[in-house]
Amino acid sequence: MFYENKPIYLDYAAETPLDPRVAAVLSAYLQEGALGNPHSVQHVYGWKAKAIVDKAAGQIAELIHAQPPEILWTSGATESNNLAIKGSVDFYQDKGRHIITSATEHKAVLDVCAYLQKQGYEITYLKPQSNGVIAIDELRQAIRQDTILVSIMHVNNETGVMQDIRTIGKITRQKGILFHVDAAQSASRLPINVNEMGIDLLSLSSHKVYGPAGIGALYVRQGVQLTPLIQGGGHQSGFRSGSLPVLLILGMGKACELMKADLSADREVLQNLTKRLWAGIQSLESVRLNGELSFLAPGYLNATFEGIDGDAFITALTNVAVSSKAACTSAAVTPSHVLIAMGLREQAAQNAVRFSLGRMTTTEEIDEAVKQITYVVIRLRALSPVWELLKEGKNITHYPWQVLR
Amino acid sequence: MMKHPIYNEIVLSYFFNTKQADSLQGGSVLSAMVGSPAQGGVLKLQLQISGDQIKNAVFKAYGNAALIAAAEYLCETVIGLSIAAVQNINAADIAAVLSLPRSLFSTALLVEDTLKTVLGKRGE
Ligand SMILES: Cc1ncc(COP(=O)(O)O)c(C=O)c1O
Repeated sequence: MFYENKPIYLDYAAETPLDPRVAAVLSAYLQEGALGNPHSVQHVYGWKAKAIVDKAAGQIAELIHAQPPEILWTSGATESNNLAIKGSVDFYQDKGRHIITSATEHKAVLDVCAYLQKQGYEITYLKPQSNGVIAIDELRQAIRQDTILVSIMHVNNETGVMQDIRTIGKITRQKGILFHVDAAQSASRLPINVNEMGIDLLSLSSHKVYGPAGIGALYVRQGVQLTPLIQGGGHQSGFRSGSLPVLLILGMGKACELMKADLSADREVLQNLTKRLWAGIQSLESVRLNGELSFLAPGYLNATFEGIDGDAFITALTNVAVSSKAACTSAAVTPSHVLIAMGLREQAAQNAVRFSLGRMTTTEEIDEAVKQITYVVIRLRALSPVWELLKEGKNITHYPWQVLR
Repeated sequence: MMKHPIYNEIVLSYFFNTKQADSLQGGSVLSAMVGSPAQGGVLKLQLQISGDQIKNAVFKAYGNAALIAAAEYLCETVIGLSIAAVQNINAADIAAVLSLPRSLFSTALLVEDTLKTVLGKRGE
């Protein structure tokens, strides 16, 4: 009754649409019967399946400038992060038990670190600067004799803030420390070269690169060892047992092949669309960009509209699909840990809205979204007593609120 | 048609049709503002009273869709009623009419508190 069936989709950070070219490959495979376990080495069905998996590993490897044997299949970036971090620090624990990460990582890194802390590892959480970027000097200073792993994401899923992976990779390589990068978001936005960037472990997710959900990959530099999390039949050189989902792998491979071909064109279009969206949003007064434009990957804007509750905004914005926090954490009502780490007040963090654009986003959609956003902001501000006070020049933080309960 | 996972049709219908979102001026108007942004809800309620009767009721609300809906519902409901008739409106009544789940009950409480606070200003 109130919600459009197909609102404008500006939530690419949560999930990218399946690219129709990927869908075509998947449906052809399904039509053929989708038979074959790549681990069945004694008949043609298995060989065919193995050929699909091998080709896909090549497609992923190409995207990030790795070698196909360095690609490990997982269920997604969550598992990749788990395996990269738990697996490496367990294997190398005799070299040390100190891990460096940042306060703005995805929960799939932070929760793993919290778990490891209970197991006796020491974790340093680097706090970013107010623009979300980690100061390289702070990272350098955090390194100790017993540091075994640095885990820093490439592009933040809530804000789009980019980290200087190349510089961090130089430092870790020089110090002989393993470097893990969560590239779930960046793979669809920025070029990645694991060699030039000094990356040892890199997490990827298919449903963030226009492939099917439920499959991901972990790049493991040749020679780097991991203790497996999932044991069994010894598949994937024992690093991760379990029969592989060939259909999903086929889709992720195709998606990465397309990404490789389309990335630079995608980036340029995205950059322009993001600018257009920001220009439209910015023309509303009192909008705060959470992050700094020059440090944002193309396609992300995280903004707080002063005087408006984030939930009311999203509820009222019936024709544009956006989110107020990472999809993975939106069940909780606590404000974003990412924005809090960047120094936002709790209220500003709670009310922040994330707009994320992608390959299928059009200029018309952005223009329509700006119209809808403008309408909703004006409407909700007109009925906001907080906005009324702000307009009167009152200081909201120090206002004598009458709180009865 | 897809259902909203949190807000029912009653809540949404008040939320999208806020006829009483306004400000009043004048001597016969009583105002109160309760809550805080940190608590996630602020409600400003204004009643225009003539004798024993509520002639008009308007609000401004900062908070989630349920708070805005509950405030709209309250204002629409009290217009034309006597003070005596509205004095005992409480959070449970509001929550019942709007079918609010427990997780949103605090919005009804804020509406009740604000109404009581405004009415308490009579004769001040
Ligand atoms: C930065 C980042 N890391 C990890 C994940 C988890 O990915 P997946 O859904 O593939 O497990 C996500 C997606 O929510 C993400 O954005």
